[in-house]
Amino acid sequence: MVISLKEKFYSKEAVMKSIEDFKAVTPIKCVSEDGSFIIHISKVEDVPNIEEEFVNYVLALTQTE
Amino acid sequence: MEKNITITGNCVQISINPKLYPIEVIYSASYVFLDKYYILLDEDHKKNVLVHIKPKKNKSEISEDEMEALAGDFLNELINYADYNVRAKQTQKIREMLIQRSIITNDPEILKNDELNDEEFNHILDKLDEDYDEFLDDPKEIAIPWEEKYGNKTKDK
Amino acid sequence: MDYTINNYRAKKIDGKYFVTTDHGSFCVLDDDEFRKLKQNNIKDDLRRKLEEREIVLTNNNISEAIRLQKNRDNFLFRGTSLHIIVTTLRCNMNCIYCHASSKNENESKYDMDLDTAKKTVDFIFQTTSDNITIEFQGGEPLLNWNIIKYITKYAKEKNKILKKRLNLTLVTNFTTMDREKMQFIINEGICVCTSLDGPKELHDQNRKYKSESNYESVIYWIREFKKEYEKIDSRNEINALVTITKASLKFPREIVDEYVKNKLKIIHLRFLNNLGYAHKLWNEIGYTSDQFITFWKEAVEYISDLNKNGIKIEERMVQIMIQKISSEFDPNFLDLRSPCGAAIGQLTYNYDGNIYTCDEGRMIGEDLFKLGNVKTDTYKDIVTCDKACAVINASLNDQYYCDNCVYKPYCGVCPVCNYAEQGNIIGKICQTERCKIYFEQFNWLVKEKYINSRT
Repeated sequence: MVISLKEKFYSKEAVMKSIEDFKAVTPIKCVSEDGSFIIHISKVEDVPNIEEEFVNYVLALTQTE
Repeated sequence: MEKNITITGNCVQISINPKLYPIEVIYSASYVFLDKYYILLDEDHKKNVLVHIKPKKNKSEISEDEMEALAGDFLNELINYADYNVRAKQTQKIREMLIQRSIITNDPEILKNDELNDEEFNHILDKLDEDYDEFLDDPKEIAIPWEEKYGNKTKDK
Repeated sequence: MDYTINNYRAKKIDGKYFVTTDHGSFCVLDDDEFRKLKQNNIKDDLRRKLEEREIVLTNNNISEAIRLQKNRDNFLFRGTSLHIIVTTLRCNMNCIYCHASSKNENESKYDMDLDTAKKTVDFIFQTTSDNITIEFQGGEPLLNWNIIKYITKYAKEKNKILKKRLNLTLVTNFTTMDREKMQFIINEGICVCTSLDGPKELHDQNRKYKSESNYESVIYWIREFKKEYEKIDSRNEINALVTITKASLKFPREIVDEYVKNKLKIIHLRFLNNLGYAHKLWNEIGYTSDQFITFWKEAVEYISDLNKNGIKIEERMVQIMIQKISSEFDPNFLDLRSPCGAAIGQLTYNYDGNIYTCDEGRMIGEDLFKLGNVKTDTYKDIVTCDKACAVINASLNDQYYCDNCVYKPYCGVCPVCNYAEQGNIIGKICQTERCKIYFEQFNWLVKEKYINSRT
């Protein structure tokens, strides 16, 4: 699955930290393109909405910063 | 208000003018909903911030009325944090002064430190007193009551 | 204009606004008053009301605001006062929610030895605090009875020179209590706390003791201690704690009645932390914050009814929250404080001399919250180390969602609980069960004691 997050709204540090944390659960990688982070994340059977959980995770870290 | 809200299936999209609500206010409001909803921030061609909100529970359990109420709740949280943001900036100086003075009068090390002589200690207090005297200044006329500021204009109408 | 408006937070409860300041003063306003506050239209009676509570600041009350802020933050300069010594990890019970992940009672390698005990007491007395409370915990601390006696004597000996206000407390399941131990405990002035989870069936279901009933021992020794205290006219009270599990949720009144029956005047209805064995069995014994709050409200409302009928019993969290709101001095309940008690309010010393930020920190089961060891480190090293600073920093509620919460001056964050629940000491606070529970408890209390009691 592919997620696109605007760099304007999500901090780079939060994205990187989230990717590190989610690596333990599923294959995940990120590239930067046209002002957005493009995140490729694999589905996980036990976590039906993992891509949405990831986005929430990044937002929470961004807000805490 | 309706033009800012779009409900598609089980997703609410709210369009927010970033000139009215700074990004940190949108973050704070979004944060409140992270527990029960998935949230994505995006932008449209007019540079408005688009907030996509989707409930974590199953689609079949959410009614259209609940989705509308959700949008309303989000808009209210925006106002809540926008108001708090404004107040926090207005009271920043007084908060800093209160904390500084309470800590300096609390810290036994500062009070009994032999190396901190009277002159240095008085300098610290004088600096705090400058801030203390300024706390009643009101360059932006914030403290003037609404009726006093706008009352005549209303009567002119 | 001869005034300025202080920083405040507000929440509408039952048609009124509960307004608080950073230093913890509060005020209840009706709709009209709150609107005038927002519009800065503050005159006459409203001005007097707001000035009295430092929501409006003038030359006349600015010193009072500073004084109150100073009192509320007073604990910052006191040094670590609560020192929890784990005399052994061994335990002879199998409580289903054991946070301490205790060991088999035959494994004596998990006992604190004499040398470690001495170094622990030496370490404790390096604290800058004038007050020292040494709390014996475990496992079951009485299984290492000789060390308890040694620490008691040695600490008192050291205190003859250092002259701190020294208190000793013991947390025990009473299974190995006997008359000789009871006499020593009473003579040395050690306060005792035990667990009583409710009526016999519930208590024994939660707290399994071989093939016997632990409830019988607990009740027996509560009564024996009370008898002895009465004989010598002591003001000491025996205390008990209840741990709420899923099974407890159906019995709020019965649990309170058990405490009343045994003449225990304080009951602390604590929610279960997701630590130790509780973490592994959470699906079986845990519950949601909503479920706990429903239980808690029924229990405290029942306690209110009992009080109206002249029966003296209080819920500890209600007591603490009232003191936090109504008193200018913090009751120093380490869970509800910013920063929390980690390192600067309490330290926990494991049987092997390892030092942890707090009791919950040692229950995580990893070294994440370990700060050092009594054999190698000084008090100053421990409370100023990077790890202690990181945990303390993570507990400051100024940086969180808490900053806009009306209860911020009275509340606190637990980095250890954040880590246990979310895998990070920096938590998503509004998603923690703790936040939801404390928020609802404050809401109930403010509505009952501050809003409705005024109408």
